[in-house]
Amino acid sequence: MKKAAIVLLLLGAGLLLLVAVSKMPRMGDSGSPDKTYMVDRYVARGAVEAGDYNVPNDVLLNYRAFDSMGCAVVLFTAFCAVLAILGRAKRGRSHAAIDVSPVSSGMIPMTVVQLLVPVTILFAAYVLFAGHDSFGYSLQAGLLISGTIILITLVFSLLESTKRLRTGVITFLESLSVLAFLVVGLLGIFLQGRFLSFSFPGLHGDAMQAVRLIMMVVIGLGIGIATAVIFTSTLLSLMREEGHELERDIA
Amino acid sequence: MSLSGTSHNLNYAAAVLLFLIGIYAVTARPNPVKKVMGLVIMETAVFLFLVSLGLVGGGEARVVTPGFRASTLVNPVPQVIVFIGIVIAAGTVALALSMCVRIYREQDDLDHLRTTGTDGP
Amino acid sequence: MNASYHHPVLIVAVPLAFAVFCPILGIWKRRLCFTWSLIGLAATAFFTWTLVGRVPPGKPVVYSVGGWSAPWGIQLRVDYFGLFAACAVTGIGIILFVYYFRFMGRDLKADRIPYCCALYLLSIAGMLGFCVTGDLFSLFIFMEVFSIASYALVAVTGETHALQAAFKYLLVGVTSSATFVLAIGLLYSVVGSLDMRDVSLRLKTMDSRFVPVSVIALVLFLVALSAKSAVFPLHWWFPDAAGTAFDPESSLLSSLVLAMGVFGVFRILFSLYAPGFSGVSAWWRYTSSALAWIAAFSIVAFAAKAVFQRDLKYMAAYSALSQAGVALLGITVLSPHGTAGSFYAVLACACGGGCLFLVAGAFMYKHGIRRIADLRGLGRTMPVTAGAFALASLSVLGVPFTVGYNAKELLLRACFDKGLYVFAAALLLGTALAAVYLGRVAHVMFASSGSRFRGIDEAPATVYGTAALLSLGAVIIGVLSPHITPALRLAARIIFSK
Repeated sequence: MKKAAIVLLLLGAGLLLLVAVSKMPRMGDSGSPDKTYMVDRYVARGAVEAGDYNVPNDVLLNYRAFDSMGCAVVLFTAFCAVLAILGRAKRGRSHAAIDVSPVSSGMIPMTVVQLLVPVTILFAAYVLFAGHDSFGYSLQAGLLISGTIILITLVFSLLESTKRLRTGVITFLESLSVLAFLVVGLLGIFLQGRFLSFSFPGLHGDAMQAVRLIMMVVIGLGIGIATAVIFTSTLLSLMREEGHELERDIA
Repeated sequence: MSLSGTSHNLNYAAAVLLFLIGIYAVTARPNPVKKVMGLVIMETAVFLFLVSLGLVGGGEARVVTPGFRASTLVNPVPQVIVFIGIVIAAGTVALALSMCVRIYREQDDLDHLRTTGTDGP
Repeated sequence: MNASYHHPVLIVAVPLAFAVFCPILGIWKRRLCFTWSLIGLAATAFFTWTLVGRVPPGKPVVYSVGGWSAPWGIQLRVDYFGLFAACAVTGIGIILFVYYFRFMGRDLKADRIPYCCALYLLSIAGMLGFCVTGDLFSLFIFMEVFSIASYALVAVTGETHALQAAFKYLLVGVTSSATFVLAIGLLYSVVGSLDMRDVSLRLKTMDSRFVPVSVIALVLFLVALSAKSAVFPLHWWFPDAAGTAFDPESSLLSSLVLAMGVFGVFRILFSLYAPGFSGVSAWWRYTSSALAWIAAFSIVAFAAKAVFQRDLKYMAAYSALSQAGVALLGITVLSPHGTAGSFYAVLACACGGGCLFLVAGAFMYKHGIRRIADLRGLGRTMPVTAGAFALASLSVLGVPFTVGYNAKELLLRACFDKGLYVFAAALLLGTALAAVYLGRVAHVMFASSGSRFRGIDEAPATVYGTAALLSLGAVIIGVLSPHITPALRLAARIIFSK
């Protein structure tokens, strides 16, 4: 009965949306409003004004950098939310259930992972910096690294992967993406520009391009590292089992 | 109000269909994890819709080298919207799943939740 | 470049900066987290309130982030109403955060406290970003920031009911956000811009075959925001979320989060689809009227539901829903008086409705009481808290010299101006029902016989102090309103004349 009502409502909503779809500009039409107004400037002058040959990247990191900062803030918020609900996986504690790894730690998985990990991390580093001339962005790099760490966790043990870094360092790294945006943004204010502006009065030509590049690299690094640490910590918190360990607070 | 325009906007129609399937999963399934799956389907549908917006017939998604003709580049703005949207969706799904984990710790059977109603516990 | 030039962006950047350091501080010295966050909130309030007076009605302060002008870059546009909302958020935000102090220490595990503080600062930052931004996608992002923080803050105690309520809230919230993005996509496809003012200008000259698309986008926007402001029939997440949440968060939810939802409706109806655009204006009026009918219905229905509640927090939740309906009615009535009145109604909901939750939390904290029947005689034992309840009730009822009175007076005038007598009747009926459910609680609280409480046993100072402060705020704003109302009405008239 309830399901029938839901289906009926959804059909009505679907009809409305399909009417909208049918009246929308033809897909792929290069003369439609959304492809001829804002976009012309991005495509025509993006590489020169914003400094990246990869047009979506310079929209993300330069023209609409405030939205990218918002993206980093949302990620940080969701991460704080997960930690507020689940608590952090305590470093160095042995979790009874997860330490017996779900993937049998035979020779083959361990060797393959040991061979793969350096390659993946190198690729992640490439992706991190490739956004300027080719396709790549810091966020994907961060995800690659965190995926690698999760792989290590699955094949080796939770104990191993949480031993490496102190909790204080990890916490700092998690905040790094928002911090990078704020530092670069406030620097923009101090150097007579606006928040998150990359060009300043008094700087021309090569000096301006150098400053802009450095700022975008700083932001990119911040996003990449923070994403890696955030997704890893989130997954480790999800794997953590309450009740198997003593709930003593690490101050 | 005819729907004839849908035939050349099939991507959008498919996205709408997926969106509705996602909402159905969120509302009609009792298991919280299945509801979260519905959320993911819904959000993916929206991203499909937005990316299809950016399509330019004969256009390319490439790096802009000097001397490039502007008109054949794919619209970058929907890509930006989707990119940020994916990150937001990932964060929200992580939060939703962490709530599911907590709920699961208290009640072992997620298919038949002992739910609380309105008007007080 | 005068001294407050960068304030629009600092309003958002400062609480973010403080929030980012909270977890780090939590590792180093956890006791400092609360003070640190309080300093951050004070700094944010400073940057917000120093803009007052620099934003005359009709002349917004525009700040282009990164130096790129709209629509290629993102512009923050602080107009009179945005600043009004931002001041309310920072003012009430600080008061509510002081209330958090005792509850965080008692209800939360120690290692979660820094994250709770960070989430609070992030929700304030998100709300402020929502108020000041001029870009549509930016609006969505900040909406997500404070929504995600709210989902988590509801569940942060880990109690079963709160977890399930938070999960329900999350489902509704994320679905509505996805609908919002779909609407952005629809609108972008026919307008080609993401800056709100730019979109409103381009809608006037839009090709007429795209009109249905923009109308359907409007409907989707309003549906999404109705879910966020708990409008019937998408309200069902709210009573459980506010009724079972971590006590201070119930107050934040009902006062500020609902207010943001209503403010979002204002932004969509007046900044995005500005009045007077050709082709769509008839539909704009129809959707607004539909929403107005729903708002009027919810005023009465939720007030009636509140009468039958046995639990104090659930009663306060339905009361907040009713008051949010009043604010929404003001916006959708489409008259300058109505718009001005709805901003006062938002304040009334925030101060009065929020205070009801603070009082309920105080009773919970000190005596563990939730049911109204158990409140017998508590009014004499906790006099300041009960006094705050009385003041807040007066504001909800709309007694003169409270901000609730200003709201209802302006709204009634708007209804009579436009001949909408049914809505005026709904408002008055809602007030009468509020008198019933609030009066019932007051009667039980101040009953002289059958009480199991002896002597004076008040809640801690930060608890009753903030409750008293919030309810006093409703009165102070009401008393100061002759200075505020002219500018508010002027700003409303300017929007309608565009």
